[in-house]
Amino acid sequence: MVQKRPFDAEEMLEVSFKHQKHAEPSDQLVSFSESVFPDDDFHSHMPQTSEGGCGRGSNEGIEKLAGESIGKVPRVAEDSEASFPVAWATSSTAEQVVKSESPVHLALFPEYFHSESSVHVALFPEYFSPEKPFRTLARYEDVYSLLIENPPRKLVSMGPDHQADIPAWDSSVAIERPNASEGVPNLVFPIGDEDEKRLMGTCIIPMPQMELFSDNDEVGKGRTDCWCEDRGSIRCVRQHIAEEREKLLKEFGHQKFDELGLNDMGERVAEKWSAEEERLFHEVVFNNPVSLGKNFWHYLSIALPSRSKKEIVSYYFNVFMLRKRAEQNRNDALSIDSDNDEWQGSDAIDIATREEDEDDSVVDSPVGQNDTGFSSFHENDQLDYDDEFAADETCAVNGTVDFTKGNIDGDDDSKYDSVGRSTFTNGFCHLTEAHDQTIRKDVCDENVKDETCTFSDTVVSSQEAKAKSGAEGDQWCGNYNEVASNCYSNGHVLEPCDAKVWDPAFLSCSKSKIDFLPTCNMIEEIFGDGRRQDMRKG
Amino acid sequence: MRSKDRIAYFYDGDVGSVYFGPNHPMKPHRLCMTHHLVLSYELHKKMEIYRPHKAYPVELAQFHSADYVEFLHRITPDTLPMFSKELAKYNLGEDCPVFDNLFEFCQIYAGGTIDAARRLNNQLCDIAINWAGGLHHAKKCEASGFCYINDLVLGILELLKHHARVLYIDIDVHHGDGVEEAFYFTDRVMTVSFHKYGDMFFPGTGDAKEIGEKEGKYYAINVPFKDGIDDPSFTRLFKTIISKVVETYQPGHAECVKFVKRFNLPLLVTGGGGYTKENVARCWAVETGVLLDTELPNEIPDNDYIKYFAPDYSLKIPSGHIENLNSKSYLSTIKMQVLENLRCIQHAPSVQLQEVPPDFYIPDFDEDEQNPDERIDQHTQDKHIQRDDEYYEGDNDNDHMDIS
Repeated sequence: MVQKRPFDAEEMLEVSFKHQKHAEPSDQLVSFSESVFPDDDFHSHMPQTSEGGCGRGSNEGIEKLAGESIGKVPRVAEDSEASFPVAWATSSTAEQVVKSESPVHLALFPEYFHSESSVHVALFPEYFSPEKPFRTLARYEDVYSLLIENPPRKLVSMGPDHQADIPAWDSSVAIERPNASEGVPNLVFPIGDEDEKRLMGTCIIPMPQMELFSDNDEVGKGRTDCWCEDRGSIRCVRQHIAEEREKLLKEFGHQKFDELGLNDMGERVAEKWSAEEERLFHEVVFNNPVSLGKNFWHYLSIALPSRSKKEIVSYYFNVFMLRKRAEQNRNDALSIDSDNDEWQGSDAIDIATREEDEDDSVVDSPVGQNDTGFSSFHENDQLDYDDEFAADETCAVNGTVDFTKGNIDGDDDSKYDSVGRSTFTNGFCHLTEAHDQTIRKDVCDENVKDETCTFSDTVVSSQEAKAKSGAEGDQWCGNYNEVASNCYSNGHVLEPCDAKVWDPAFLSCSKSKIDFLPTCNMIEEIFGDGRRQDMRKG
Repeated sequence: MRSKDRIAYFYDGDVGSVYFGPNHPMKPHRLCMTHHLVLSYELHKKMEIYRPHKAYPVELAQFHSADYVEFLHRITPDTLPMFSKELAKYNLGEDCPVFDNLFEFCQIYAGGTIDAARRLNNQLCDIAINWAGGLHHAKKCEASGFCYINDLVLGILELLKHHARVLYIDIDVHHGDGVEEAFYFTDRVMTVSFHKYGDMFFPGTGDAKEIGEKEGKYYAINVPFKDGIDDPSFTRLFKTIISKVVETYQPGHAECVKFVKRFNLPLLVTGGGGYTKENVARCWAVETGVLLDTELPNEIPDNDYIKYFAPDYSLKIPSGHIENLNSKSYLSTIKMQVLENLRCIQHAPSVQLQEVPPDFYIPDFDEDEQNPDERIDQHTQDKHIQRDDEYYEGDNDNDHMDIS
């Protein structure tokens, strides 16, 4: 959507800008053909015809719309039938106009935010310095190139459907107002009953007594370093968050704490979710990546009927995403992006994959693929599977999204999915710190003891067993299988879940180290030595 | 310096639990993060916190057309397919998707701004903050640019019940077209917008030539920028223009944020654009601090969302390098144009202006103290990610501006 305009075009526009001031500030509109501007707004704002020099010199055949004040030209209604041929006709005569004594600046205003709608043409007669306009206008052989090289200015819409109704002003209402914090406020209207008060907001925290604070000493202290042995680990961070939480809770009391919304923030939100629900959540997200044209939000509502949309969104941002970030933050890759909703694991490996496979188009992936999620992908080799996720996610989004505005930050972000199951479940995400088994073990232990542990005991204990065994590569797969079998045995099928999805054979870690690495090895690649990464590149 | 200001801060947790859709840049969750950061820095000790009421449809219809409000109220993602014509009419479905709890979301953020305006009207506070608000693109009869209900217009209409004139300053990177359009014909509201312009940047309006119409002529000010404006240039231009605006327009007795704060006017501050949510939270937390005359330390305290602020976990982050395409002469041109238009107001005042402004204080510019993110009744600067491929070929200075 970004256009690089050549210098000349820029110059021409600047010319029109700087000469604006010399034009008569009067209305120089001449009616355009009715077919172009059918809506009433235009006619109601049609000013008187020109008195300046611009109108007279022009050919009679031309009906042109002009005005020094841009406000005179309303935007064409989107459902207008006007078509390009009108513009064509105008442009051909415009060249004639150019040669008249009052040169005309041809400015076209396509509604580029509504591509199907019409183009309306507005010509601005202005007093050009002679050396500029002929040269630049003559360059354009047709309207199209003129349009492309000189994206025109969009105008402010006017009419009863656009401007606000301003309330009448009663000057007796105005009074000298003192500072609101000085003594009793001088109320214009006494605040009446509770309903009226409520219309100004319900007070949660009243105004603190200002004189208690000498200065900024009490307020706004930053974070200080802690003395934990595992400083910076997930456990350490969790502990300090909990401590701060306690402080706030003590200060506010339970009711205010709740009214401030603090009970609905952070990973504590997971306390209100069962292990089953959490697992379901992860499964659905995992099986329906946006990069494959899926919208997991739709399936989340189906899979969790007892949960409102608000609860699902809240869980997503407060638990799911936060845990992803915890993992991302401890990843060496520099591509931390918490706005990437679909990030599903370490990206480091996928940076490598993506570089070599950037041309592979995810868009070609069958959008209408059946709902077995990854099943068909599992049939291919792992490499292809990685490729599917490695491309830029934004281009693969189903059906849309060329946010004219949204593209601002969407295009440059490298959004790509990875295959990693590392965030598959609550307990699993802790396992991704494969390099630090101590921490993992602590977390596992903590999870076992912690009431907030949302994992079934069987899974957790299998984690522990694996952790203790020290078999990094195997343990991930093992756990995955565990969950898989849980999923399967619970008969828990969101959609026709193909058994291939959970095919343990696929997930076995016995494959070659060079190629077609299963997930478990990927984790080691990221956190372990980087040699495998190099091998993959090769 | 006045005695300490009384500050009202509005927040409702439900506003963060809506989801625009996959890959949509607008993430209301940023409001939870901001709120949490504000509380973690203990700023609640210096201000009062309110939960806004949910604006009623009739309140929303003070500006918007009744049928548009009604449609917003009734449409859900499930009933979408039956209303394709209306969706097109109201510009819903793409940039402005229909998602669950959409109407409630609108009611909350609009309610916040309306409540804030009412408290200011009743002099219950000097400064009111509603970060959830600031959706300045919404139009009377349609949605636009991720905005459905224009809370700013509603807030200003509320303020107009008690004030002769309202000044609106918008420093979001996008032109504040919805607010400008709403008040394009009136001189009771002066809209000033600083924004990026050109290259088909959204929304496309906001040329310096847009100055208002009818009674509102010269009461719309647009300061268009090209890519890469740096802080010092922006601040200098901002201060120059705003000083002149306030001096000329005299929007009642009020105060504005820091620099603007010194003007001593009631101040309503809202959010707006910002699509990298942790940066949004950082920015608005800092500005809350500014409003409270509190400078926040750089180390973000432990809080539920601290993971989002990796890797530095600090408030201030180094900015990336981008070429500043706004040459000195270009900025000078813009400045001249704006000041020229402002002079037209003095020559033909249609608003009652006192000859000698009482207690009016034009502060000296302290260029070192720059912080261009303060505002009244307006938005934060959008922290969109810079695009490397946006540039202009050649130097397009406009060196020959004539001022008649």
